[in-house]
Amino acid sequence: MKGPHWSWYLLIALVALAPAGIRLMTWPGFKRQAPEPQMVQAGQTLFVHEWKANDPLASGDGLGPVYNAASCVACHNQGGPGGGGDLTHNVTTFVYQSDAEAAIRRNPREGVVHAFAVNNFPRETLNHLHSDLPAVSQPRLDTVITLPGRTVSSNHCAVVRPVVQISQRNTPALFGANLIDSIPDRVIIANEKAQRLRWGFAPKKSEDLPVGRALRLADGRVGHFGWKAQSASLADFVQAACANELGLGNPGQTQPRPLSKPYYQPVSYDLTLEQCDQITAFVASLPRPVEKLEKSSLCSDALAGRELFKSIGCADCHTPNVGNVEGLYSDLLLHDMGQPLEGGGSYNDIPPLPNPNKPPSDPNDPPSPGEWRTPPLWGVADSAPYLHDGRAPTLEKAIELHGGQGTRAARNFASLSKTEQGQVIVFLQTFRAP
Amino acid sequence: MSIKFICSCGKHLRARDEMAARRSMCPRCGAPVGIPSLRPTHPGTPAAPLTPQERIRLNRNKPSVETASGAALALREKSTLGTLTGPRSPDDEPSPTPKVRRRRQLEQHWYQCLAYPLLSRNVLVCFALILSVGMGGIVLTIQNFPSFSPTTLSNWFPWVSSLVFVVMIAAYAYSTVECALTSALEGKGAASYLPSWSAADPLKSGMRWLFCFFAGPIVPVGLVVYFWLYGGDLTAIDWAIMTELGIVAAGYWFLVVICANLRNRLRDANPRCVVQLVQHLKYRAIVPILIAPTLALAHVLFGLFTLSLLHEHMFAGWLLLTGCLCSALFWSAFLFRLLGVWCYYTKP
Repeated sequence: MKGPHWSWYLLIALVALAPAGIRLMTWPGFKRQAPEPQMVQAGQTLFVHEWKANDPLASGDGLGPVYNAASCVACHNQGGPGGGGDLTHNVTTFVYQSDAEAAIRRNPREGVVHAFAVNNFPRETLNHLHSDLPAVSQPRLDTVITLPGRTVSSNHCAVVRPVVQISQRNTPALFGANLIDSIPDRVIIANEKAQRLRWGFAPKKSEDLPVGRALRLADGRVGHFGWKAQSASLADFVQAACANELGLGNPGQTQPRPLSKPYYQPVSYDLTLEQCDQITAFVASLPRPVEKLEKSSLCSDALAGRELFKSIGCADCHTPNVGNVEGLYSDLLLHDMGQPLEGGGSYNDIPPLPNPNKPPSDPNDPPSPGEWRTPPLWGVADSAPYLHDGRAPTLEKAIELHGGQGTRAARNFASLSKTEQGQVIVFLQTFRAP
Repeated sequence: MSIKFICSCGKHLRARDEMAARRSMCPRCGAPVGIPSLRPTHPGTPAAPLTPQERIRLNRNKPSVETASGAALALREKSTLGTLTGPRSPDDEPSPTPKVRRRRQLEQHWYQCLAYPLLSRNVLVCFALILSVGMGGIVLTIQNFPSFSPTTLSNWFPWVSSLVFVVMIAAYAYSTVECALTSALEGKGAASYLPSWSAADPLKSGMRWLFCFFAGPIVPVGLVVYFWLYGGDLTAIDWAIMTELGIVAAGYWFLVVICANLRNRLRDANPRCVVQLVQHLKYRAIVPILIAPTLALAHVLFGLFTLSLLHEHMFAGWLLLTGCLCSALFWSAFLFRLLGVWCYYTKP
């Protein structure tokens, strides 16, 4: 009997191999590239520049009209330009519990209460958000949240929590940002899948197991930067920060409208895309944090601490390596840290309002108030205070305050002897700013 | 003088004396049949084969061996024909209404192979239940597993022992499914075949399956896992690739397991023997190449879903997992039986 013509076999082979061929051509690799020196130089100038209203370097209205600092380096300065910031530079964010509540007060549903305003603009205060709140622009952290061991003050923001939730953000360090930017989305999603596999196919909305989720943005990209993983790239993160913190609108992010003048329209963008790219290039040029052992006597403690760090479950989320990036100690995933650490409010784009009664189940759901991106631990010794709003002055306190999916590791840490706890802290203190 | 005896299909047969204690083929059913010996099995007993009446009476008295009730363990049983030369009793009387449960023949059609898993249903359901409890227990308690370090070895004992228990049950289940194949390759009719209760047989069977997995399917399976993990959010193209790789892995695994069992030689688990087997099976090769892997993939995906469901709805998840395992074992038994029967007839 005559068999099929050889071309049939060829056709079947081609059809079978076609998907693999298409996928190989579109397989995303690491996109790390060194920034150009001229761009870095120009970016450094912009990074440390003290911006003013109608600044000659800006095309529009310059600084403001509402802003949190006059320069990037004003906040990012711990351990050198690009580092983290202390509590005094915390940013206050808000989120209304419903669109109707925001519309009544003619405010955006989510945003930032800026600390300063240019001369002819009234400063934004908490009172703009709700009449029961005090007219302060820079509330202290203990008036926004209930710190452990503190009594609730009379002007505590918790009294309006059912209407508007107020929280703060601490300035993150930017060292090694280029390496984080180079991590492909698929690697972060791989962390998500690996954690599900590790915990017996546990769902992503697990309340106690450390199973995180990658935040998919509206355009399909995965969030890399920001406390809520709200920015997919370093360029996006820089553009959002320029607009929200300095009031420097740019093509990537418009500047926020003052709460006191919601109909204010800027004449044009303050920064061009090229200027944003220059700042991005400077941030990308910042070296990665290093692991330092100041005293050789601490070496054995640090090594023991490294083992304990893994064995008690810290490394489940603070993954030492992500893709080709070693020593990051973050999985770059969102983890639910429990009710005490909740904090809503978007930093740049306004995503759909999360339903507080429904844990996120869809990967495209916006972050819930309790979800935070695992912060990279590199350079952690030089970036106190800790947690998203800096409520933990020390590393021990930060570990103790871990809730939700971090409870297991915190409980394991608490069960260690004082010596072993000290070894873990010694290990963490080897992560220094460059 | 000739020896008179009855085949398991009921055919009355006659053989010459020189054929005593040898094997022949039944002209009706084609099954191998043992010709009774002329020598007595006990001293002082007459050396004569049983008459048909004696055989009927013996069948009535020994139902556990000859009836196809599902309890007969043919791999453990000796040839029934070899035991039929017992002493005659003077009070033997032919039964007025003989009810003989006929031994099942080797299946002639593919749909007859569906009876095989039904005959073994009790055993397969038991395995599915135990496996689902074991797997579900591991998945739900995995968070309590202590971190592995040399100082916490003693903490690992309960977990390791429970894991070994589940692995042993899985090995027994593999071995039972493999009996469907080996019994068919030996031309044995459908019955409930079980491995021996000693741990050696299931372990040997499990090791054979593992060897066959490492003899090729590990490569596409590794690619599937890597692709699933590092492929990002999977698109239709990604699913197509993974399905293709899964089909290749499962199909090759099926074929290589059959090759290793054909002559009971592990060295036959190689691509050349697999190609020869496919050539012998001809158009029937579509079953191990396409149908069996598709079923396997569907069960794997559904099984993963049920494991995920266990975390939220434990009882529903466990019920579905048990159903999935039952279905997987039933289908495996059927497919291995079918392929075994085909291999028996085509003699690859």
